[in-house]
Amino acid sequence: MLARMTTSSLDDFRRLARTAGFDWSDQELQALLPAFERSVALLRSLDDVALGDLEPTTHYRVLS
Amino acid sequence: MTDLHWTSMTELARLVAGKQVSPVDVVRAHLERIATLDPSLKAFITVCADAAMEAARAAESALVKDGPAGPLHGVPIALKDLFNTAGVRTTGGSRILADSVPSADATVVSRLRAAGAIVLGKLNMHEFAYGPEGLNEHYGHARNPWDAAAQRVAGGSSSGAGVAVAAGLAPGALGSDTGGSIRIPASLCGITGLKPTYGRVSRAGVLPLAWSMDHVGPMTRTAADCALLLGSMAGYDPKDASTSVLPVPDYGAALTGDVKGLRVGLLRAYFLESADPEVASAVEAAAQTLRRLGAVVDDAQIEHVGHVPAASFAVLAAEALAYHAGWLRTRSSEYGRDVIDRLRLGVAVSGADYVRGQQVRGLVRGAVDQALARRDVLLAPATPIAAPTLGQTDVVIRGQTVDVRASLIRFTRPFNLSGHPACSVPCGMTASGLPVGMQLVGRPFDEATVLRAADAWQRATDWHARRPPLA
Repeated sequence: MLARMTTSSLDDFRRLARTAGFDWSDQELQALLPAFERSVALLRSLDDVALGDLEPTTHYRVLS
Repeated sequence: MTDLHWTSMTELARLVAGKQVSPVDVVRAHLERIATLDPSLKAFITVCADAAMEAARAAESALVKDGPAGPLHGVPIALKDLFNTAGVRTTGGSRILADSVPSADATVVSRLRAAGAIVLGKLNMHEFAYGPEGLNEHYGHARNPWDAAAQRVAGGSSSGAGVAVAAGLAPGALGSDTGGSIRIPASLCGITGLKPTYGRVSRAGVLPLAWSMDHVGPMTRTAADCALLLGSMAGYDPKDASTSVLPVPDYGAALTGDVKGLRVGLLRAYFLESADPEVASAVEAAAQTLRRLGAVVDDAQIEHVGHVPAASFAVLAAEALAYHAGWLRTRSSEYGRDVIDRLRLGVAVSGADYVRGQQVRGLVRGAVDQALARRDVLLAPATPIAAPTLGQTDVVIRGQTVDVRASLIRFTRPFNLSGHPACSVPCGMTASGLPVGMQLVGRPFDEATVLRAADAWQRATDWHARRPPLA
């Protein structure tokens, strides 16, 4: 997990990919690094949302 | 009589049931149009010509013997190529599933066939539904019929559905919508597309992109046809645990043509204010027209909507990666470049990120509910821009350069996260002759009001009746 990480790197990307079971080459990872960094920054913006004790929602369903 | 290929599903159903036209003639007219135009438009991946003609002859015989089997008796339809069809390949727009032939129909396909519909074929789409432009390097890019010469995108991911319906290759189609994939091509191609409430229509037998954000819905030329299709396929399905047990109303009966007193909230912040001025003007004009028709229009906003891009990325990217992980390990060379890149970014999402995304989802859902607490529908542009050209990566909106992909999904994605029903309806044309779509958003399971508003709008305007400049 990249909790509170403000900068990300090729090493981070490689580590996450390998943890998930993907053995992608450095060339493949490098090509995606800018998009990866933008994605991480986007995800980190969620840390600042005041969620309180709101439970996660998965489905909109009326049970009746 | 109007050309059969421009006749609405509702009218075709009436003509067939009244034995004024044969299903054989209807299906043949569409197959001939597909043969003429589809080589350049590339709306279809698979055309089921022989099976469709056989079904049409059977429908004709059954009509003579027993009368219409259902509300769609003898009416043709086309399916995005991610709905399972027994005996007909279902590719998901991919090379990986190029030869995948399901043994059974998706629930929605079974229901439409039971209602009498005849499947013309399987429609082009962005590979595995993961892209808002509707591009496909395996089967060719579907071309927007409004400016095929300039090679504009149709919008995606249900690109073939947008093209087929707009160009008269099919009177209606089934699409799926995870971030806007019904409403984006509907907006860019000038047709009507409804994303129902999450849980209203079964997803069983439909290739997933992200289970908790995927929706199935109709794409047609009119709101009345959306009502006809929705009524034929909605409702609880034991094969899809997310479907609701709520009864399915008579959507056709809801189309009164009357919006007097309808409370409409015009979404300015985040939506109208970040749309291209031509698009914003068309939606503002639509709000004025709705006022003239008797609706009560005020300004509305959705709190927390700014968090939607991050939350939906967390949910969608993680779910898509989970579905594709096996193929990514063993068949990665068979993916298109843009799709594999997008899938790989899913490793950035941690378990905690995913759950936080689902928490934000609850926040956004509550905010949309709040905006609808004193209103019947919300009104916004469906897309911030009209159809971009193939290969265009950036667009300038109000002096700011923005990413085309991010722009296309900006206004639709909030309602995939929240699950509310939303319908894209043609509401204008740009100076360069491209369609503009507006989006009507309703309360959960209140598709009837959304469709009533859309239908009343279409009775008072003719944007939906304009046809692209095709031979």
